[in-house]
Amino acid sequence: MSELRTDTITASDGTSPVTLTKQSAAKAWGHFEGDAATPVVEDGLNFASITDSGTGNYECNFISALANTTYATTLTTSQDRFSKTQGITTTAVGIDTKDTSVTLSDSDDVQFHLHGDLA
Amino acid sequence: MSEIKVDTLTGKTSAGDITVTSEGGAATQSLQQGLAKAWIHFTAVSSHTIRGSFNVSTLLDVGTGDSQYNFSNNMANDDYSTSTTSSHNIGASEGFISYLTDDQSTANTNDMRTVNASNSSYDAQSVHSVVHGSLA
Repeated sequence: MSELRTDTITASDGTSPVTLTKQSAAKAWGHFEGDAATPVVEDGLNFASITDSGTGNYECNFISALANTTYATTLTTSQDRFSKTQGITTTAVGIDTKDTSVTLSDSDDVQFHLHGDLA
Repeated sequence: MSEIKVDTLTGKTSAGDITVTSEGGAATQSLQQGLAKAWIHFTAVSSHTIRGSFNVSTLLDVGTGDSQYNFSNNMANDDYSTSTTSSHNIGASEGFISYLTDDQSTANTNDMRTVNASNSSYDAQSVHSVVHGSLA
């Protein structure tokens, strides 16, 4: 079995991104506690900070901007809460969480994944 | 176009950290952190059956609308991020929603619930889950 040890992979021109054959890597993901007095980031990739924009409304800010707003986002919340995106920009994704009465409500665990192109 | 054919990629400075350049060239990012660490597609109707998976050892039927799967290789902690989706197209029980069970996911298990449009626990025809985070 062959093994390549390297710290950085780029295309042969030294600057362009390398192609992952028939695969896509997430460009951002995050896990935060949305029902804390101040939402707490548990872990993430390209996840700079979270802005509490009101009850059940969060802005997840990226470290590196996305190339455009056509990226795909998937969301999951904790028990008895549902979620949707609310405002997508190249530097942040907005998330709404609601209870079973479809009323904005903070959620314990909020988790997101994002696939697309970085700037 | 140049191409390297190799079986294993390992970070030179840190074995678990290889950096790749962004599509637009404005940023660099960890390759490992962008890769899914586990995924599963299963049905919970009649019996829990795995249709496809990666880094999943077993699937458990915890109760109606309550499923748990175990990782083959454990995560580093319980701070990982999960996305779930479910569907059900049998009879009138449509409009399925899935979510995580409060504080039940650990470094070696992930627990999720599925409910129908009436917010009642219900076993879904298809449940999908993807995990991103750090492996142990």
